[in-house]
Amino acid sequence: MEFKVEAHRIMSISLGKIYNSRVQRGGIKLHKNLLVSLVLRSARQVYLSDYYQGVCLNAQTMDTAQPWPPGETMDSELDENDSREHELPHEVGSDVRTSTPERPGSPVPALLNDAVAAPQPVAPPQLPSRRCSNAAAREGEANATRECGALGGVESDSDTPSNPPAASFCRKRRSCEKMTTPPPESPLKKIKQQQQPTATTNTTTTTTTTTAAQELPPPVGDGEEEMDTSNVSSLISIFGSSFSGLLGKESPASEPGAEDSEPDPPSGQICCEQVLKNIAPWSTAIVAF
Amino acid sequence: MKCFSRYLPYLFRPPSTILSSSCHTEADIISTVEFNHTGELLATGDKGGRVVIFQREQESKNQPHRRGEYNVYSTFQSHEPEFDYLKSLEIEEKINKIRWLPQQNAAYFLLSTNDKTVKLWKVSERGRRPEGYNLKDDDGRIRDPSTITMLRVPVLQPMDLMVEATPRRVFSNAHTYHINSISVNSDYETYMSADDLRINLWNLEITNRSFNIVDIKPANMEELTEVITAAEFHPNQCNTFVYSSSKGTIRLCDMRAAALCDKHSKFFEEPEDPSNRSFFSEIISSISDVKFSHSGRYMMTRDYLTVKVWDLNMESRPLETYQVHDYLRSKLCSLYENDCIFDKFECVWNGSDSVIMTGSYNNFFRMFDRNTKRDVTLEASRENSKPRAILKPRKVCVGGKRRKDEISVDSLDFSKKILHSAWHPSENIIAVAATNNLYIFQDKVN
Repeated sequence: MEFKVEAHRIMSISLGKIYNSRVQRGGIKLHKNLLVSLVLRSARQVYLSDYYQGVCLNAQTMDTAQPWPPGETMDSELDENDSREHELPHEVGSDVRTSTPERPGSPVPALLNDAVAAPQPVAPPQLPSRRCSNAAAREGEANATRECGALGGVESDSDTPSNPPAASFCRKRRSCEKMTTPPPESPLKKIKQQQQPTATTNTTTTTTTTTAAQELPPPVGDGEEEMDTSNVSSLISIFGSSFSGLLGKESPASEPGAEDSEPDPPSGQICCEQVLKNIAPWSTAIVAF
Repeated sequence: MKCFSRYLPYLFRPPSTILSSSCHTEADIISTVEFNHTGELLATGDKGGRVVIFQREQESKNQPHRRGEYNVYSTFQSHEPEFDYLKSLEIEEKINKIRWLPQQNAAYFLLSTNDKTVKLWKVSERGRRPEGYNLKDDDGRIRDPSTITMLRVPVLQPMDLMVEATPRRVFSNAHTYHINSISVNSDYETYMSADDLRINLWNLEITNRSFNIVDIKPANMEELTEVITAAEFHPNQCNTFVYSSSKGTIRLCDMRAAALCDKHSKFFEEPEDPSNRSFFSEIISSISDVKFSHSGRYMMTRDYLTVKVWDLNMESRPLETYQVHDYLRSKLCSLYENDCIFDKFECVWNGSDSVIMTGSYNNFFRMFDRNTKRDVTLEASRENSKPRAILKPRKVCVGGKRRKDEISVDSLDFSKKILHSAWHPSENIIAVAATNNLYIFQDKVN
């Protein structure tokens, strides 16, 4: 499972590099960005394979989880905030409390973290941190990106600590983001000053990608991650969501629809899939070339 | 293995900044080093767009110990920063490559390039000037015609040597992507310039037209998987050239086969070792430099951790592989974070193709003797070497006990890297660029 931590870290670093390349003198360097996106793809593959392994294990072990609510869309977040219980898969043994970047919208009921399948003691402490995100969202808290990282053990209030249902975390995030459309810029700005304000203006338009972004609260106070994962939100929002070139054979199904910023994807789960599979800061940069 | 001594450190900056060599400006970082075909001249380009040419002193009987010192011969600003208004991009003035043209008359010609524009410079000496004009005196002031009583014929008088550099050709607007290589053809009439996706062929005389000979740009940019990283013409065969890719492959092309050389004649690739697979396998397999041997029989490629010598007749695997700094293999993740993994090291042959040299970190550079299979690690630094002292071989301690003179991997300074170096075409003189300093080392003979 440590591969997953590493993969996640490498993914966020890579996205940070791609972002920074835009502001570098001399323009975007094609070669370097290509290499970075290759690393990003490798890390993503590892991450996904680890994740799916965990999902399969959990599917076998957990049968109390609620089924994935069908027909959920990205827009149906506000009402579902209160009722949904979210569990975020997270890394075993990791003290990084950031949620994993994207959750594919898989029909598997329980999106449990791998920790649940493996060492049990690890799971419970993690739940509250996820709960806090719900709480924050419910309160309309702008700093969705902040609380998960900072409040490791904060207990949520009304969320029942039952076993996590299938509902996607990313949908949760979407709701956060929707409710606080202007504020996503502020945590991003706050956390990483280098980010240009103009870059974050896309958050409202590219909800698909912003969702994924919001899923990565930076571990404030956690020195483990060098690059703030809040980068991911702005990066993905800046660059759009289509990324077919280097994915190529992997996800042909999601490619056709994976163009820039789809505000209304057919369903929440496909949206999540796209978010996860279509990290494509690269393509827009290339096309802009 | 010959021993190299430090003949004289040639510092790129004027003496006033010697004391604070760590506080150099970005513009002083040397970005390319190249000897000319006779080795008499050594050109360096820097990030500020300047070219500095050193000339070797003629040997004199008075001072035999100062045999062949290199002194500054000419300095000029080759490229200026530009702005592409259409794309809102700044074009860096950093000199990416310098290539000399063979000398055909008293003047010297070189090509220098930044990301977008190649320029042909003529470097010539002026040692005489005409004196004795009728209508103006030697200061240039106009003479009063009424004071002129007799005619005189101007004669050429010797003057202080003046070296001037003039841009003779400017080859621009041919590259959408960043130029990474230029290479002069052995026909001395054409040269090629390569960017990330295309290679263009130019005639040295014609600036408003170039021919595209390689184009690997995919129809859909989202399908891009590799870019061109270096290209070079064969030293003898004017129809043959190679280009390397970011995937670790080299393609040899024959211009006689077709106008567009997208279809290669030979394809050099070494199968990847699956046990070494990691997130960064693709990055470290990207070739940063490719150089033909002087004989034309072999070529050498440099990727992040190794140097490989290929026989042009064998495409399946390299002839020889040399590990430059394999101790970095376990540190690839940190090197990725601090961007060091993207450093593009160059490699050079010696005149007889028996020794190859390449740079590393901590101002180390490595030489590999192909015949004896011995290698040495040397350091380019002022602290360690005195004039005419023999460079002491350095060693990096990988693990376990560190001996007295060894340096551990964790103490390496990754900001001090030797990316560019050059070897005199016939003698054992090497020029090594360490950030903003240029070191010239000479083989200790007599």
